[in-house]
Amino acid sequence: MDNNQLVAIEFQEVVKKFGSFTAIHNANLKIHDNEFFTLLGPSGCGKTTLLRMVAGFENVTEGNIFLFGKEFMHLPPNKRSVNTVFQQYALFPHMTVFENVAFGLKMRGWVKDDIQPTVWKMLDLVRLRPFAERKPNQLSGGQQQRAALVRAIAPRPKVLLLDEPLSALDLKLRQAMRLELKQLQQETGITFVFVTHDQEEALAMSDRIAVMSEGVIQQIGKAQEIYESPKNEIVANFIGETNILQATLVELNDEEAKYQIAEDFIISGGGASGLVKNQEVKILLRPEKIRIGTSDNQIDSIPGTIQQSMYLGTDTEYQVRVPGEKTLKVRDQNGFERRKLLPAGSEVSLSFSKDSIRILRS
Amino acid sequence: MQVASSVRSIPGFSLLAILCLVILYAPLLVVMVYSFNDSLSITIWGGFSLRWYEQIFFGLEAEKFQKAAWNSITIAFMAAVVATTIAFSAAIGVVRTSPFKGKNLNISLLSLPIMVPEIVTAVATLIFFSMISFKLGYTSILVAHIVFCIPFAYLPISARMQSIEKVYEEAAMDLYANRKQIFRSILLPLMIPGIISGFLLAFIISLDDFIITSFVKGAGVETLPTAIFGSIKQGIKPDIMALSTLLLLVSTILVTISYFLSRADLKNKLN
Repeated sequence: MDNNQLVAIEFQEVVKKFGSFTAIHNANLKIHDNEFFTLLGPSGCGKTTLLRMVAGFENVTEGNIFLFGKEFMHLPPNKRSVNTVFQQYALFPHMTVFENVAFGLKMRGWVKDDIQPTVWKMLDLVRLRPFAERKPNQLSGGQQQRAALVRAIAPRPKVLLLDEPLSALDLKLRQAMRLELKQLQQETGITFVFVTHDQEEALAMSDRIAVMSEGVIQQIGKAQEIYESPKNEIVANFIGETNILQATLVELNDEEAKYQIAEDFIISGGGASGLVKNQEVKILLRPEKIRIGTSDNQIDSIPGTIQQSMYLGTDTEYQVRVPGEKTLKVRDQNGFERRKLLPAGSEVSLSFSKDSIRILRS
Repeated sequence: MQVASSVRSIPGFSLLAILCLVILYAPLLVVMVYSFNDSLSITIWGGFSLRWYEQIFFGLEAEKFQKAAWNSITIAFMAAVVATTIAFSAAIGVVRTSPFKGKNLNISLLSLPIMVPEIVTAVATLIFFSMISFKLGYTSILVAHIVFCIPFAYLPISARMQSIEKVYEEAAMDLYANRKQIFRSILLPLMIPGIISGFLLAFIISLDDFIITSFVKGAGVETLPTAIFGSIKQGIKPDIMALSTLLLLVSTILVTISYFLSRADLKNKLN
């Protein structure tokens, strides 16, 4: 990202403690204006806490958070121009959909003549006009979700905070809502800060992602960066599946490095800058980057035996036994060429390109 | 549901259930039926008549009963209003705050009076009034009723308060509402069913209270229960049955309203 882009939210050395438990360790993060930013991590990693501190429901133990460069931590939630879409939607049960969407505008002191057209515009945005007079409990889950969304967008907050808003929906609806959320963000131009534990959701929608674990921001980057070049094992393990192999750097020259995993298992690859010979490293290899073949006369291929095969529709997943008593997970796409499922016990050869392995210092 | 059906399959279950219901309701039924009895005797049926109802409203004791009824209803109404207000405030203080020292103690202390034997409360109240030389009469009844109605009003109100998730208030705050606006447009409307239930419960409890009232009422002031008790001292007359039936009717109506309110509410929540 461009460094001189407008920063919507900036976390500076933010620490949050609940009693003796530290929920957030020195978080530093810049979220840009008009960005779809995702905080991704397993439950309990502190991502919701970060969001609640921006909304004003939690205070900051140490450090500071800025909204478009201005201090705002001293303001109560109702004085902050950020709005939240809550995980359970929190639509007011005694109000109609219209009244719910109008609520924020009314509280901001808008006059009735301005509220009406804005609410209708919002309801049209998410196709809820026919449901304006319904109570929240007369709506489906997806409709409630959309109502909660526009209720938070209607007052045109500077930043919209979304706390796992899709987690209560079923899979099909969740996928449809992803698209809708992304569109809504682009149409409104509001900065979205999205919290989720669902990596697929994060990869699909976000401009940038911050991966969190145990209160620490592990890596910040675009979806592809996070997936292709995870900074550490935590990120690699959390985003997608990966094979992690312990190895020793045994040969090193300008173009190539060789890593020994077991006595008869040496692979070559790049990524050796800053490494010295005999250094212990970890090799990350995504299952879908490995090609599985039956002929064993390929150059640089690793012989293996299939231990288990699992047919998953679009892919087949194989557990392949390779030299050194290791097991590699391989994903083979059931694509253009129709292939037979390789049964357990088949002798195969595995190959991958040098670029697809990632080296981590251990 | 397995458990329920297994209990029902025990032989004699329905017989036992019917027996229980009969024991519960037979006395009430007798009173209701015999309030329409034309005969002066309370045990021999002498044909249908509304004369006892007429008697309550226009008979010799009509004035006494009307005055007692007026006292009962005004006291019950005022006691219920004040008790509900106090219980509501207490529920906000106890349920709607972050944990504080003695919070659990507070919760138990608020509902404990329900378990104190009423006669103890009655004696204690009377002693307290005489210690501070409070003149016994209409006002002393009212004050005593307000006090013992609070825990009853508190029950449905705090239950309702606990069922309202905090996230609604957070959402309102997030949407620029200040404390006053949150109270007026979110908390209060959501609390209405609980408040009405609490009010009705307090009203009924006050309306039919006998023990405490008879201790603190002083001479000359009667509520319906004490008036009824006073007049059966000279023997049970059928007009008392008519009066009791009317009281039962009022209670039933109030309880039914309260029931449907909580039902409608439950339905709302489940959907």
